[in-house]
Amino acid sequence: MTEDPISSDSTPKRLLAPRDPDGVLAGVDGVSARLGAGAFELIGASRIGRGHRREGGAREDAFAIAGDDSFWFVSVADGAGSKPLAKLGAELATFAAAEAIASGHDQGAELTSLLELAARRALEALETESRARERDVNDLACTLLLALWRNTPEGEQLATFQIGDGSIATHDPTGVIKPLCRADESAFAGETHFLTGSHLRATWQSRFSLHSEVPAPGSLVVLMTDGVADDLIPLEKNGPVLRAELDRLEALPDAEVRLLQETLSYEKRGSFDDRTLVVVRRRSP
Amino acid sequence: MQLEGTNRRLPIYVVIDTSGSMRGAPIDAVSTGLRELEAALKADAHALETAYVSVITFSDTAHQLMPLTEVGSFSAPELSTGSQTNLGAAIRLLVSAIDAETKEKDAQHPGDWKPLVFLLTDGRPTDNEVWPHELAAYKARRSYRPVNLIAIGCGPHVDSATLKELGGTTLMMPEMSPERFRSLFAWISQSVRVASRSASQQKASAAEIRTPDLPQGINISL
Repeated sequence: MTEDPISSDSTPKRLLAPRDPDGVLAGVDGVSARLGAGAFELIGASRIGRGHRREGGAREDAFAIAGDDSFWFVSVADGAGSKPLAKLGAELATFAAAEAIASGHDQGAELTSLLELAARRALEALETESRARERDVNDLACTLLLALWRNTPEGEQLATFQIGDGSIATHDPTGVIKPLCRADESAFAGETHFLTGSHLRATWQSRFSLHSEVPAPGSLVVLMTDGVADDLIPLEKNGPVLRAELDRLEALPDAEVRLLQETLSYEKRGSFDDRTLVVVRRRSP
Repeated sequence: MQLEGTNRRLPIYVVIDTSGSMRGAPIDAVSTGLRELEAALKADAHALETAYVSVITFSDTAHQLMPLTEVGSFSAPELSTGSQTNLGAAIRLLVSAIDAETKEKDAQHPGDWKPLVFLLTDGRPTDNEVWPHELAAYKARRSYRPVNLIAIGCGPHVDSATLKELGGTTLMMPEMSPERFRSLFAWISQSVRVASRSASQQKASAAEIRTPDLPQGINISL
Protein backbone atom coordinates (compact mmCIF):
# COMPACT_ATOMS: atom_id res chain seq x y z
CA MET A 1 0.00 0.00 0.00
CA THR A 2 1.43 3.37 -0.94
CA GLU A 3 1.57 6.37 1.36
CA ASP A 4 -0.54 8.36 -1.08
CA PRO A 5 -3.38 6.25 -2.41
CA ILE A 6 -5.06 9.29 -3.89
CA SER A 7 -2.41 9.49 -6.59
CA SER A 8 -2.75 5.83 -7.46
CA ASP A 9 -2.83 5.06 -11.20
CA SER A 10 -5.52 2.51 -10.57
CA THR A 11 -8.10 5.26 -10.08
CA PRO A 12 -11.24 4.22 -11.96
CA LYS A 13 -12.35 6.71 -14.57
CA ARG A 14 -15.55 7.52 -12.75
CA LEU A 15 -13.68 8.33 -9.56
CA LEU A 16 -12.04 11.71 -9.53
CA ALA A 17 -9.18 12.15 -7.11
CA PRO A 18 -8.88 15.57 -5.49
CA ARG A 19 -5.51 17.17 -6.07
CA ASP A 20 -3.71 20.45 -6.32
CA PRO A 21 -1.84 20.01 -9.61
CA ASP A 22 -1.14 23.69 -10.14
CA GLY A 23 -0.04 24.42 -6.63
CA VAL A 24 -2.68 27.11 -6.35
CA LEU A 25 -2.19 27.37 -2.61
CA ALA A 26 1.53 27.90 -2.92
CA GLY A 27 2.64 25.29 -0.49
CA VAL A 28 -0.46 25.17 1.66
CA ASP A 29 -1.76 21.63 2.10
CA GLY A 30 -5.01 21.56 0.15
CA VAL A 31 -6.76 19.75 -2.67
CA SER A 32 -9.87 20.28 -4.74
CA ALA A 33 -11.88 18.40 -7.33
CA ARG A 34 -14.80 18.94 -9.69
CA LEU A 35 -16.85 16.29 -11.43
CA GLY A 36 -19.85 16.35 -13.73
CA ALA A 37 -22.22 13.47 -13.10
CA GLY A 38 -25.24 13.55 -15.40
CA ALA A 39 -27.54 16.31 -14.24
CA PHE A 40 -25.29 17.04 -11.27
CA GLU A 41 -22.04 18.74 -10.58
CA LEU A 42 -19.85 17.88 -7.61
CA ILE A 43 -17.20 20.26 -6.34
CA GLY A 44 -15.10 19.69 -3.26
CA ALA A 45 -12.13 21.13 -1.46
CA SER A 46 -10.08 20.25 1.58
CA ARG A 47 -7.72 22.69 3.24
CA ILE A 48 -5.31 22.39 6.14
CA GLY A 49 -6.40 24.22 9.28
CA ARG A 50 -4.53 26.98 11.06
CA GLY A 51 -3.60 24.64 13.88
CA HIS A 52 -1.85 22.01 11.78
CA ARG A 53 -0.31 24.69 9.60
CA ARG A 54 1.09 26.62 12.54
CA GLU A 55 2.57 23.47 14.03
CA GLY A 56 3.98 22.21 10.74
CA GLY A 57 1.55 19.31 10.72
CA ALA A 58 -0.44 17.73 7.92
CA ARG A 59 -4.07 17.99 6.86
CA GLU A 60 -6.00 15.06 8.29
CA ASP A 61 -9.23 15.57 6.36
CA ALA A 62 -9.85 13.79 3.06
CA PHE A 63 -12.61 13.37 0.50
CA ALA A 64 -13.34 11.53 -2.72
CA ILE A 65 -16.04 11.95 -5.34
CA ALA A 66 -17.32 9.65 -8.05
CA GLY A 67 -20.17 9.62 -10.53
CA ASP A 68 -21.44 9.34 -14.06
CA ASP A 69 -24.77 9.86 -15.79
CA SER A 70 -26.52 7.41 -13.50
CA PHE A 71 -25.19 8.12 -10.00
CA TRP A 72 -23.00 10.26 -7.81
CA PHE A 73 -21.11 9.45 -4.65
CA VAL A 74 -19.21 11.45 -2.04
CA SER A 75 -17.05 10.26 0.84
CA VAL A 76 -15.59 12.58 3.46
CA ALA A 77 -13.42 11.69 6.46
CA ASP A 78 -11.67 13.45 9.30
CA GLY A 79 -8.73 11.63 10.84
CA ALA A 80 -8.58 11.38 14.62
CA GLY A 81 -5.89 13.92 15.44
CA SER A 82 -4.98 12.00 18.54
CA LYS A 83 -3.90 9.02 16.39
CA PRO A 84 -0.55 8.69 14.63
CA LEU A 85 -1.84 7.55 11.22
CA ALA A 86 -5.00 9.65 11.12
CA LYS A 87 -4.19 11.37 7.82
CA LEU A 88 -3.54 8.07 6.07
CA GLY A 89 -6.68 6.58 7.60
CA ALA A 90 -8.87 9.37 6.27
CA GLU A 91 -7.38 9.11 2.78
CA LEU A 92 -7.63 5.32 2.65
CA ALA A 93 -11.20 5.25 3.92
CA THR A 94 -12.55 7.86 1.53
CA PHE A 95 -10.77 6.38 -1.46
CA ALA A 96 -11.72 2.77 -0.70
CA ALA A 97 -15.37 3.74 -0.26
CA ALA A 98 -15.44 5.66 -3.54
CA GLU A 99 -13.61 2.92 -5.35
CA ALA A 100 -16.11 0.35 -4.13
CA ILE A 101 -18.96 2.36 -5.61
CA ALA A 102 -17.20 3.52 -8.78
CA SER A 103 -15.85 0.15 -9.77
CA GLY A 104 -18.64 -2.07 -8.59
CA HIS A 105 -21.69 0.03 -9.12
CA ASP A 106 -24.56 -2.41 -9.57
CA GLN A 107 -27.66 -0.83 -11.02
CA GLY A 108 -29.83 -3.51 -9.48
CA ALA A 109 -28.55 -3.35 -5.95
CA GLU A 110 -30.33 -1.58 -3.16
CA LEU A 111 -28.90 1.84 -2.54
CA THR A 112 -28.30 1.22 1.14
CA SER A 113 -26.64 -2.11 0.31
CA LEU A 114 -24.22 -0.31 -1.96
CA LEU A 115 -23.51 2.21 0.74
CA GLU A 116 -22.95 -0.56 3.26
CA LEU A 117 -20.46 -2.08 0.83
CA ALA A 118 -18.66 1.27 0.65
CA ALA A 119 -18.50 1.62 4.42
CA ARG A 120 -17.30 -1.96 4.79
CA ARG A 121 -14.59 -1.48 2.16
CA ALA A 122 -13.46 1.67 3.94
CA LEU A 123 -13.05 -0.22 7.19
CA GLU A 124 -11.37 -3.15 5.42
CA ALA A 125 -8.87 -0.75 3.89
CA LEU A 126 -7.92 0.45 7.35
CA GLU A 127 -7.72 -3.09 8.70
CA THR A 128 -5.52 -4.19 5.79
CA GLU A 129 -3.23 -1.23 6.25
CA SER A 130 -2.96 -1.77 9.98
CA ARG A 131 -1.97 -5.40 9.45
CA ALA A 132 0.62 -4.42 6.84
CA ARG A 133 2.13 -1.92 9.24
CA GLU A 134 1.66 -4.16 12.29
CA ARG A 135 -0.24 -1.37 13.98
CA ASP A 136 -3.50 -1.15 15.86
CA VAL A 137 -6.32 -0.33 13.46
CA ASN A 138 -7.31 2.49 15.80
CA ASP A 139 -4.09 4.27 14.82
CA LEU A 140 -5.90 4.92 11.53
CA ALA A 141 -9.11 6.11 13.16
CA CYS A 142 -11.27 8.54 11.23
CA THR A 143 -14.85 9.61 10.87
CA LEU A 144 -16.71 8.64 7.70
CA LEU A 145 -19.54 10.45 5.92
CA LEU A 146 -21.01 8.90 2.78
CA ALA A 147 -23.71 9.98 0.31
CA LEU A 148 -24.86 8.00 -2.74
CA TRP A 149 -27.52 9.26 -5.18
CA ARG A 150 -29.25 7.35 -7.94
CA ASN A 151 -32.30 7.69 -10.11
CA THR A 152 -34.30 4.55 -9.43
CA PRO A 153 -37.58 3.26 -10.86
CA GLU A 154 -39.14 4.55 -7.65
CA GLY A 155 -37.71 8.00 -8.31
CA GLU A 156 -34.59 9.79 -7.19
CA GLN A 157 -33.08 8.45 -4.00
CA LEU A 158 -30.21 9.48 -1.80
CA ALA A 159 -28.65 7.16 0.77
CA THR A 160 -26.45 8.50 3.53
CA PHE A 161 -24.23 7.05 6.24
CA GLN A 162 -22.32 8.77 9.02
CA ILE A 163 -19.97 7.73 11.79
CA GLY A 164 -18.53 10.61 13.76
CA ASP A 165 -18.97 14.35 13.65
CA GLY A 166 -19.30 16.68 10.69
CA SER A 167 -22.46 17.03 8.66
CA ILE A 168 -24.36 15.70 5.66
CA ALA A 169 -27.13 18.16 4.93
CA THR A 170 -29.35 19.80 2.37
CA HIS A 171 -28.82 23.49 1.77
CA ASP A 172 -31.86 25.21 0.29
CA PRO A 173 -31.88 28.37 -1.84
CA THR A 174 -32.63 30.57 1.17
CA GLY A 175 -29.63 29.18 3.01
CA VAL A 176 -31.43 26.83 5.38
CA ILE A 177 -29.20 23.88 6.24
CA LYS A 178 -30.99 20.69 7.31
CA PRO A 179 -28.90 17.72 8.45
CA LEU A 180 -29.73 14.38 6.87
CA CYS A 181 -27.82 12.35 9.47
CA ARG A 182 -27.19 12.62 13.17
CA ALA A 183 -23.61 13.38 14.09
CA ASP A 184 -21.87 11.56 16.95
CA GLU A 185 -21.09 14.28 19.44
CA SER A 186 -20.75 14.52 23.21
CA ALA A 187 -21.34 17.39 25.58
CA PHE A 188 -17.91 18.85 24.94
CA ALA A 189 -16.12 19.49 21.66
CA GLY A 190 -13.62 17.10 20.13
CA GLU A 191 -15.14 13.85 21.32
CA THR A 192 -16.74 11.61 18.75
CA HIS A 193 -16.88 8.09 17.32
CA PHE A 194 -14.77 6.59 14.56
CA LEU A 195 -15.16 4.06 11.77
CA THR A 196 -12.69 1.79 13.55
CA GLY A 197 -14.77 1.54 16.72
CA SER A 198 -15.56 -2.16 16.89
CA HIS A 199 -18.26 -1.50 19.46
CA LEU A 200 -20.07 0.55 16.82
CA ARG A 201 -20.57 -2.25 14.31
CA ALA A 202 -23.89 -3.09 15.90
CA THR A 203 -25.03 0.47 15.21
CA TRP A 204 -24.13 0.58 11.53
CA GLN A 205 -27.58 -0.42 10.30
CA SER A 206 -29.16 2.50 12.12
CA ARG A 207 -26.69 4.87 10.49
CA PHE A 208 -27.89 4.20 6.94
CA SER A 209 -30.82 6.26 5.83
CA LEU A 210 -32.72 6.71 2.58
CA HIS A 211 -34.09 10.04 1.40
CA SER A 212 -36.54 10.42 -1.47
CA GLU A 213 -36.43 13.28 -3.96
CA VAL A 214 -33.31 14.76 -2.40
CA PRO A 215 -31.94 17.22 -3.31
CA ALA A 216 -35.08 19.21 -4.03
CA PRO A 217 -34.91 21.63 -6.95
CA GLY A 218 -32.61 24.50 -6.05
CA SER A 219 -31.21 22.73 -3.04
CA LEU A 220 -27.66 21.49 -2.62
CA VAL A 221 -26.36 18.47 -0.80
CA VAL A 222 -23.33 19.38 1.30
CA LEU A 223 -20.91 17.14 3.16
CA MET A 224 -18.45 18.74 5.54
CA THR A 225 -16.08 17.85 8.31
CA ASP A 226 -16.59 19.46 11.70
CA GLY A 227 -13.95 22.05 10.83
CA VAL A 228 -16.59 23.64 8.60
CA ALA A 229 -19.82 22.37 10.18
CA ASP A 230 -19.04 23.77 13.63
CA ASP A 231 -17.93 27.11 12.21
CA LEU A 232 -21.35 27.47 10.57
CA ILE A 233 -23.07 27.59 13.97
CA PRO A 234 -25.46 29.40 14.28
CA LEU A 235 -26.80 27.91 11.07
CA GLU A 236 -29.61 30.41 10.66
CA LYS A 237 -27.06 33.20 10.33
CA ASN A 238 -24.26 31.48 8.49
CA GLY A 239 -26.28 29.18 6.22
CA PRO A 240 -27.35 32.07 3.96
CA VAL A 241 -23.79 33.43 3.97
CA LEU A 242 -22.40 30.12 2.76
CA ARG A 243 -25.19 29.71 0.21
CA ALA A 244 -24.50 33.13 -1.28
CA GLU A 245 -20.85 32.22 -1.52
CA LEU A 246 -21.59 28.89 -3.22
CA ASP A 247 -23.99 30.56 -5.65
CA ARG A 248 -21.27 33.07 -6.50
CA LEU A 249 -18.97 30.19 -7.40
CA GLU A 250 -21.54 28.36 -9.52
CA ALA A 251 -20.90 30.19 -12.76
CA LEU A 252 -17.14 30.24 -12.43
CA PRO A 253 -15.08 27.81 -14.49
CA ASP A 254 -12.65 27.29 -11.63
CA ALA A 255 -15.23 26.90 -8.89
CA GLU A 256 -13.41 24.07 -7.16
CA VAL A 257 -10.20 26.07 -6.96
CA ARG A 258 -12.03 29.09 -5.60
CA LEU A 259 -13.79 26.86 -3.08
CA LEU A 260 -10.36 25.88 -1.86
CA GLN A 261 -8.65 29.24 -2.16
CA GLU A 262 -11.43 31.60 -1.14
CA THR A 263 -14.46 29.99 0.49
CA LEU A 264 -12.53 27.77 2.88
CA SER A 265 -10.01 30.47 3.73
CA TYR A 266 -12.42 32.42 5.96
CA GLU A 267 -11.16 33.57 9.33
CA LYS A 268 -13.00 32.87 12.54
CA ARG A 269 -11.64 33.18 16.04
CA GLY A 270 -10.90 29.85 17.65
CA SER A 271 -11.22 27.99 14.34
CA PHE A 272 -8.07 25.88 13.88
CA ASP A 273 -9.35 22.65 12.39
CA ASP A 274 -8.85 21.33 8.87
CA ARG A 275 -11.76 22.20 6.59
CA THR A 276 -13.40 20.02 3.99
CA LEU A 277 -16.55 20.82 2.04
CA VAL A 278 -18.13 18.95 -0.86
CA VAL A 279 -21.11 20.50 -2.64
CA VAL A 280 -23.48 18.68 -4.99
CA ARG A 281 -25.67 20.81 -7.20
CA ARG A 282 -28.07 20.16 -10.06
CA ARG A 283 -26.71 21.71 -13.18
CA SER A 284 -28.71 24.51 -14.74
CA PRO A 285 -30.74 23.22 -17.72
CA MET B 1 -16.81 34.81 3.46
CA GLN B 2 -17.53 36.34 6.88
CA LEU B 3 -19.10 33.97 9.42
CA GLU B 4 -20.83 35.01 12.61
CA GLY B 5 -20.97 33.27 15.96
CA THR B 6 -19.02 32.83 19.15
CA ASN B 7 -15.82 30.88 19.35
CA ARG B 8 -15.13 27.60 21.05
CA ARG B 9 -13.22 28.05 24.31
CA LEU B 10 -10.89 25.96 26.43
CA PRO B 11 -12.04 26.66 30.02
CA ILE B 12 -9.27 26.53 32.64
CA TYR B 13 -10.16 26.52 36.35
CA VAL B 14 -7.41 27.00 38.93
CA VAL B 15 -8.71 26.03 42.37
CA ILE B 16 -6.40 27.02 45.22
CA ASP B 17 -6.36 26.04 48.88
CA THR B 18 -5.91 29.23 50.93
CA SER B 19 -6.28 27.64 54.35
CA GLY B 20 -4.14 28.72 57.31
CA SER B 21 -1.40 26.22 56.52
CA MET B 22 -0.77 28.00 53.22
CA ARG B 23 -0.05 31.30 55.02
CA GLY B 24 3.30 32.96 54.36
CA ALA B 25 5.77 31.67 51.82
CA PRO B 26 3.44 29.10 50.18
CA ILE B 27 0.66 31.56 49.36
CA ASP B 28 3.21 34.12 48.21
CA ALA B 29 4.68 31.51 45.89
CA VAL B 30 1.22 30.63 44.54
CA SER B 31 0.51 34.33 43.92
CA THR B 32 3.77 34.61 42.02
CA GLY B 33 2.90 31.48 40.10
CA LEU B 34 -0.45 32.92 39.04
CA ARG B 35 1.24 36.05 37.75
CA GLU B 36 3.71 33.92 35.81
CA LEU B 37 0.82 31.86 34.44
CA GLU B 38 -0.82 35.08 33.26
CA ALA B 39 2.36 36.27 31.55
CA ALA B 40 3.04 32.92 29.88
CA LEU B 41 -0.47 32.60 28.47
CA LYS B 42 -0.56 36.19 27.26
CA ALA B 43 2.61 35.46 25.30
CA ASP B 44 1.07 32.45 23.56
CA ALA B 45 -0.95 33.19 20.43
CA HIS B 46 -2.90 29.94 20.58
CA ALA B 47 -3.79 30.32 24.27
CA LEU B 48 -4.79 33.94 23.69
CA GLU B 49 -7.36 32.76 21.18
CA THR B 50 -8.75 29.72 22.94
CA ALA B 51 -7.99 29.61 26.68
CA TYR B 52 -10.24 31.22 29.29
CA VAL B 53 -9.13 31.20 32.92
CA SER B 54 -10.94 31.29 36.26
CA VAL B 55 -9.48 31.32 39.78
CA ILE B 56 -11.33 29.84 42.75
CA THR B 57 -9.96 29.86 46.29
CA PHE B 58 -11.19 27.97 49.34
CA SER B 59 -10.54 28.11 53.04
CA ASP B 60 -13.38 28.87 55.49
CA THR B 61 -15.57 29.18 52.43
CA ALA B 62 -15.02 29.18 48.66
CA HIS B 63 -14.81 32.24 46.42
CA GLN B 64 -14.50 32.65 42.70
CA LEU B 65 -11.95 35.47 42.60
CA MET B 66 -11.91 35.57 38.81
CA PRO B 67 -14.80 34.38 36.65
CA LEU B 68 -13.98 32.57 33.42
CA THR B 69 -12.05 35.26 31.57
CA GLU B 70 -10.27 35.29 28.23
CA VAL B 71 -6.52 35.24 28.61
CA GLY B 72 -6.10 38.72 27.16
CA SER B 73 -8.22 40.19 29.96
CA PHE B 74 -7.07 37.87 32.73
CA SER B 75 -5.34 39.49 35.69
CA ALA B 76 -3.91 37.30 38.44
CA PRO B 77 -5.88 38.09 41.62
CA GLU B 78 -4.39 38.84 45.02
CA LEU B 79 -4.68 35.88 47.40
CA SER B 80 -5.30 35.94 51.14
CA THR B 81 -5.48 33.07 53.57
CA GLY B 82 -8.18 31.94 55.99
CA SER B 83 -8.31 29.08 58.42
CA GLN B 84 -10.20 25.92 57.38
CA THR B 85 -9.93 23.62 54.33
CA ASN B 86 -13.50 23.47 53.08
CA LEU B 87 -12.89 21.35 50.00
CA GLY B 88 -16.57 20.45 49.74
CA ALA B 89 -17.47 24.09 49.31
CA ALA B 90 -14.76 24.44 46.66
CA ILE B 91 -16.06 21.50 44.65
CA ARG B 92 -19.62 22.81 44.88
CA LEU B 93 -18.53 26.24 43.65
CA LEU B 94 -16.38 24.73 40.90
CA VAL B 95 -19.29 22.67 39.57
CA SER B 96 -21.60 25.64 39.80
CA ALA B 97 -19.14 27.84 37.90
CA ILE B 98 -18.58 25.24 35.19
CA ASP B 99 -22.31 24.80 34.73
CA ALA B 100 -22.87 28.54 34.51
CA GLU B 101 -19.84 29.53 32.47
CA THR B 102 -19.18 26.76 29.97
CA LYS B 103 -21.34 25.85 27.04
CA GLU B 104 -22.35 22.59 25.51
CA LYS B 105 -22.98 22.45 21.80
CA ASP B 106 -26.38 23.71 20.71
CA ALA B 107 -27.92 25.60 17.81
CA GLN B 108 -26.24 28.83 18.84
CA HIS B 109 -22.85 27.69 20.10
CA PRO B 110 -20.34 25.12 18.82
CA GLY B 111 -19.67 23.98 22.39
CA ASP B 112 -16.58 24.51 24.54
CA TRP B 113 -13.74 22.07 24.97
CA LYS B 114 -13.80 19.92 28.07
CA PRO B 115 -12.81 22.10 31.07
CA LEU B 116 -9.35 21.63 32.50
CA VAL B 117 -9.14 21.99 36.29
CA PHE B 118 -6.01 22.36 38.42
CA LEU B 119 -6.76 21.88 42.11
CA LEU B 120 -4.02 22.72 44.64
CA THR B 121 -4.31 21.76 48.31
CA ASP B 122 -1.92 21.10 51.17
CA GLY B 123 -4.25 19.44 53.63
CA ARG B 124 -7.34 17.33 54.05
CA PRO B 125 -10.97 18.50 54.06
CA THR B 126 -12.16 20.02 57.32
CA ASP B 127 -15.80 20.35 56.27
CA ASN B 128 -16.61 16.83 57.39
CA GLU B 129 -20.37 17.38 57.18
CA VAL B 130 -20.30 18.80 53.65
CA TRP B 131 -17.41 17.08 51.92
CA PRO B 132 -18.87 13.54 51.56
CA HIS B 133 -22.10 14.91 50.15
CA GLU B 134 -20.32 17.18 47.66
CA LEU B 135 -17.93 14.41 46.65
CA ALA B 136 -20.84 12.09 45.93
CA ALA B 137 -22.59 14.76 43.88
CA TYR B 138 -19.40 15.46 41.96
CA LYS B 139 -18.86 11.78 41.20
CA ALA B 140 -22.42 11.41 39.94
CA ARG B 141 -22.02 14.46 37.72
CA ARG B 142 -18.71 13.24 36.37
CA SER B 143 -20.41 10.44 34.45
CA TYR B 144 -22.39 12.80 32.23
CA ARG B 145 -20.44 16.04 32.38
CA PRO B 146 -16.80 15.16 32.92
CA VAL B 147 -13.87 17.50 33.32
CA ASN B 148 -10.13 16.96 33.00
CA LEU B 149 -9.10 17.37 36.63
CA ILE B 150 -5.52 17.46 37.85
CA ALA B 151 -5.33 17.51 41.65
CA ILE B 152 -2.00 18.54 43.10
CA GLY B 153 -1.28 17.61 46.70
CA CYS B 154 1.30 19.99 48.17
CA GLY B 155 3.42 19.35 51.24
CA PRO B 156 3.66 16.45 53.68
CA HIS B 157 0.19 16.65 55.23
CA VAL B 158 -2.01 16.29 52.17
CA ASP B 159 -4.33 13.30 51.95
CA SER B 160 -3.72 11.75 48.54
CA ALA B 161 -6.58 9.28 48.99
CA THR B 162 -9.01 12.17 49.24
CA LEU B 163 -7.70 13.71 46.03
CA LYS B 164 -7.86 10.40 44.20
CA GLU B 165 -11.53 10.17 45.02
CA LEU B 166 -12.07 13.13 42.72
CA GLY B 167 -10.83 11.08 39.77
CA GLY B 168 -8.60 12.46 37.06
CA THR B 169 -4.88 12.73 37.73
CA THR B 170 -3.39 13.15 41.20
CA LEU B 171 0.06 14.68 41.53
CA MET B 172 2.12 15.02 44.69
CA MET B 173 4.59 17.81 45.43
CA PRO B 174 6.01 16.91 48.85
CA GLU B 175 8.20 19.97 49.17
CA MET B 176 6.48 23.38 49.33
CA SER B 177 9.46 25.60 48.57
CA PRO B 178 9.12 28.67 46.33
CA GLU B 179 11.27 26.89 43.75
CA ARG B 180 8.90 23.94 43.64
CA PHE B 181 5.87 26.21 43.27
CA ARG B 182 7.66 28.04 40.48
CA SER B 183 8.27 24.73 38.69
CA LEU B 184 4.68 23.71 39.30
CA PHE B 185 3.21 26.85 37.77
CA ALA B 186 5.62 26.67 34.84
CA TRP B 187 4.30 23.16 34.26
CA ILE B 188 0.68 24.35 34.59
CA SER B 189 1.38 27.11 32.04
CA GLN B 190 2.92 24.63 29.65
CA SER B 191 0.00 22.23 30.17
CA VAL B 192 -2.48 24.95 29.27
CA ARG B 193 -0.48 25.90 26.21
CA VAL B 194 -0.30 22.27 25.08
CA ALA B 195 -4.00 21.79 25.78
CA SER B 196 -4.97 24.89 23.85
CA ARG B 197 -3.15 23.53 20.82
CA SER B 198 -4.22 19.94 21.04
CA ALA B 199 -7.83 20.64 21.91
CA SER B 200 -8.35 22.48 18.68
CA GLN B 201 -6.70 19.87 16.51
CA GLN B 202 -7.31 16.58 18.18
CA LYS B 203 -10.36 14.52 17.93
CA ALA B 204 -10.74 11.52 20.17
CA SER B 205 -13.30 9.04 21.35
CA ALA B 206 -12.90 10.54 24.83
CA ALA B 207 -10.78 13.66 24.66
CA GLU B 208 -8.27 13.52 27.47
CA ILE B 209 -5.65 16.09 28.29
CA ARG B 210 -2.07 15.54 27.24
CA THR B 211 0.38 17.12 29.64
CA PRO B 212 4.09 17.82 29.36
CA ASP B 213 6.63 15.90 31.40
CA LEU B 214 6.48 16.62 35.11
CA PRO B 215 9.22 18.75 36.63
CA GLN B 216 11.56 17.42 39.29
CA GLY B 217 9.92 17.11 42.70
CA ILE B 218 6.39 16.51 41.39
CA ASN B 219 5.19 12.96 40.93
CA ILE B 220 2.07 11.17 39.86
CA SER B 221 0.33 9.50 42.79
CA LEU B 222 -0.44 5.94 41.75
